This record gives sequence, C-alpha cells and structure tokens, in this order.
Amino acid sequence: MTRLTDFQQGFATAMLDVALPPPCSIRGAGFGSVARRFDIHRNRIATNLVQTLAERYPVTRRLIGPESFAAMAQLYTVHNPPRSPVLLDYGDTFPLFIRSLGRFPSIEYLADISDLELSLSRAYHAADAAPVSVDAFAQLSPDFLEDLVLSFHPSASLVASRFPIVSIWEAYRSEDEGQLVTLWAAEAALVARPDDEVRVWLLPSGGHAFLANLMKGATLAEATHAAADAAPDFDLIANLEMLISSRACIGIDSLALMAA
Amino acid sequence: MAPARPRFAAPTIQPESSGVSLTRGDACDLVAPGLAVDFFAVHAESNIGNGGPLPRWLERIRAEYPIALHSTGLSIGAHHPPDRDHIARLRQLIDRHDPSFFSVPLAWSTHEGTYLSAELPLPYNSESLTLVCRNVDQVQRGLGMRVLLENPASYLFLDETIMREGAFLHAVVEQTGCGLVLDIANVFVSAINLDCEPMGLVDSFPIDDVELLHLAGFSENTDDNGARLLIVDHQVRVPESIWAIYRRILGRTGPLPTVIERQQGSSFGLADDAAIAKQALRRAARQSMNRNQRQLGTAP
Repeated sequence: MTRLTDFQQGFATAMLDVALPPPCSIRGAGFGSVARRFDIHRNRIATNLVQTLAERYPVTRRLIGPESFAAMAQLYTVHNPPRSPVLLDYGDTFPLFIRSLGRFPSIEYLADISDLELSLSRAYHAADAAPVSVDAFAQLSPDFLEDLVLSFHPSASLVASRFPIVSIWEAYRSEDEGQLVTLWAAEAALVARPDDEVRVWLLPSGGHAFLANLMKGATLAEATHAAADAAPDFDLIANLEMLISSRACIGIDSLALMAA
Repeated sequence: MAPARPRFAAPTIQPESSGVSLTRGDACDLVAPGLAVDFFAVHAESNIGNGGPLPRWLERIRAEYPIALHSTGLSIGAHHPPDRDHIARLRQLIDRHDPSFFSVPLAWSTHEGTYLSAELPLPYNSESLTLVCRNVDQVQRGLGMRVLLENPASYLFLDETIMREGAFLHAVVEQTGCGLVLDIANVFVSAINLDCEPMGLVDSFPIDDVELLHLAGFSENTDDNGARLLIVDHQVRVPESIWAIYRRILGRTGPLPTVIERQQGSSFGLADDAAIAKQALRRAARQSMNRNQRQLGTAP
C-alpha cells in the first residue's frame, strides 16, 4: 500500500458515491468547503457517461424525454460504472437495467426499443466481413437446399418484441415528430451492417424462429420446420427473399457437401 | 490491415501546423479546401472498434492529413501500472494510422478496474513521480512510440503535493525521454483556481520540453466561498486571455504545432480559431527567422 494508493482509493470512492463528502486531503483556495470544486470532477464523469448512453440510445431518449432519460441513465451509471476506457461498449446492459425497473408494459416496451438500439450500435462497430452475393444463392443446386447451413455477418442479430418496435423506431429515429404507429402488433427485426450502413429489416411472420435457428447452425429444413411450428402462416419464399436481399449471410455450406 | 498510403508519403505535422479536434459530425465542414486546418487531433478511445465505417473514415482523413492521437484511457497517473490490453489496442490504432504525436493527460482515470471517465488530479511528490515515470516508461515501450504528457486543469489543492507542476513534468521528461503538451487553457485555469499569477505559472513551465500546444476556452464560476473558479470548456471559442498567453509563448519558442480543442457538435468558430492560430504561427516563424539571421550577422 502506497500513499498514492490511499489517496486514489479515497478520492475514487467519494467520486462514485455522491452521499460521501470529498476526501479531507483536498482543499480550495481558502479554508471553506471544497464541494463545488470537487463536483467539477463528479459532474464531468456523470456528463460523459450520460452523453455516451444518449448517443447509443437516441430513440429511447426521445420516447421518454431528455430529463427522464438523464435521470435513468445517471442511476444506471452509478450502479454500473464502466470497466473499460473504450466507451463504445458502455451501456450494453442498459436495456437489462431498464427491464429491471418494474414489470409494467411501458417499461417492457421501452426496454425492447433499447434492445433494438443496442443491436444497432453493436452492428456499427462489429468486425467487417464480405456478404454472400445474391448470385451465389441463385446458383445453389436444389439438391443441397434442405441441408443448407448459413453463416452470418458479425454485425447480424435479431430482436423480437410483443410491441411494434420496428415501426416505433422508424417513426422516432429522426428529430421530427414521429408519425403515429397505427397497427399495434408484435414485431421482430433483423439488424445487420453488410457494408457501411446499419440496416433494420422487419421480419415476416415466423421469421424470428427461422433466422434464430439458422444463426444457431440449424439446416434450412430444420429452421423451416421450427418456423412453421412457431407461425402456421410461415412463408418460406418471402423469408428467403428477405434474408438474401439483406446480405446478412457471409457463408453457405451444405451438410451433404461437408460429408462428401 | 495495411495503411491507406505508404508511410514515407504520409503527411506529417510541421512546427507551423495548426490543427483542430476531429469528431465524426464535424468532418464534412472541416475537411474542405481553403481552411487553415493542417492536421487533426483525434481522440484515441473513440476510434477503437472491431470494424465498421469508423476506421475507414479515419483512414480517408489520414490519407490527406497528418493526425495527433490523444488518449484519455491510459491513466498514466494511477498508482497501478497501465492496462496491457489497452496498450495493445492503442498500438494497433497507431500501427494503422501512423500519428505524428501521441499524447496523454498527466492525470488518473481508473481505479480497481473501474474507468472513471474524467481526468482526476494527482499529487506531485517523489512517490508519484516514481510511479508516473514507471507508467510512462511502460506505455512508451508497449506502444513503440514516444508519449507527450499534457498538463492538467487543476481545481483543487492537494495536501500531498510538494512539487511544482513544471518541475514535476520536467523530471518525468528527464527520466523517461517523453515530451510535453502545453495546454494553455489548463495552465490559465489552474493559475486562477489555485490563486497564482497566470504569467508566473506559464513562465515556470519547462517550455523547452514542449512539442505541441493545446488551446481551448473556459467558463466562469465561483466556488463555495465566492472565489473565482474557472472550468475548462471545449464547447466555446478560444478567448483573448488565452490568445495573449499563446502569442507570448510563441515569441519565446518560435512556432509549435497547435491544436484548437473542441468536443463533438461544438464546431462553431472552430475554423476561425484555427486561422487565428495559423496567423500567429506564421508571425512566430518570421520572427525566429529574423532572429536567426541577426545572430548569424553578428557572429564573428
């Protein structure tokens, strides 16, 4: 234990817990209280972290307003200070935190929107990979289709909700007043960044079960069965078209080919 | 991944270069012909990612302009050694973008695995000097590059401080071979907040160790006892009080590359401030040329 260790221990503890007074080894220009001076550092931490969350969760912020968002974000930062100086990942557990605030539909809905935003910001910084071209899919032999196994872009992920999260996100993604979402129904999304731009696709019926199984390494036949079980009106052609045009796949394999 | 251009062709920062902080939103306005911007100061931790458009964006900027990297995550003033994983990430960034300078604040920002996201104050004494030298040494070895230490903005007196900041910084330079960034706004703000005469504090700074200058603004406040309290503010233009010190320093040192610091979304007047700095740099270059000629003329 060094003197510097002691000093930094005391300073950091008081920095993180606003209920604690500033450490006694610091002073202002005179002998009075140093609270305002100490708060410059405290405020800087809070401002930086709340700003980081605001940049990652802009639609969540717009939905509840900047004041409520700042209060919620500040509470989060106190209990979940960053573990890394790279803040690109800071707030990965923010949706989980929102969910923990209570079992109300309004909380669940906000948490689902923040889940979608988490997928978006993760996709933005995910590793690069070359998507499979539409032509490569077109050239597939029908004999191998059933045993087809796909690998996905590192940026690709799925989000599902019993609320219309994609429509709401679309409506509130710009600063302008969002249009009203008329159809209040469950929605699921595929998020991916095949090139520079992160994109969101609204999944057709059964699409979530279909893609979730494919992402786990199921064959096309297995994923189709799972999707049909989940949604009786599952449309394989519509789902395949969406998947191919999304360019979220980076590899095609066939179990039959691999065995051969 | 290979650099966008071969290294020998990449532009570098010159003594008369004037630069600005570069953030994503500002790039389109600033990367334009006719502006007095010669280089960009880039925040290292904001540009560490696995992939995506950000590294490619920085690569395109780098192909046209030299850059100075500034890192706020190494916690060079911490009692513990710097994080090896973080040094490795920064080394990758350096290898990819080949910056002319790599700077860190003389402060600490991590504690027991928590990143505190602020530049926290360090007492200046023989113990902290030893630890800072050890940390600078490890960072320089790990990065394969010299580090420039930046003087912080001070808001508090620390009981354990027994050395002056200038003497402390000079000692680190002597022991590690690093260089210094002189942040003029930080010096001015510290002088007012710690009740010193600003010019006196500037004059006690080890100016010969300085390789890069930072300029910024500040906001006026008062502390609990009604004393004047200045807070560095990267959202405002550089005020005249800072320009006056800047010109005085250039008069002593000759031109030194200069960064106008600004945070994301605050680019108002940024290009104008860069132009003012450029003018002062040209004038300083002329003056030191004249001085050299006079000295040559009087030589036996």
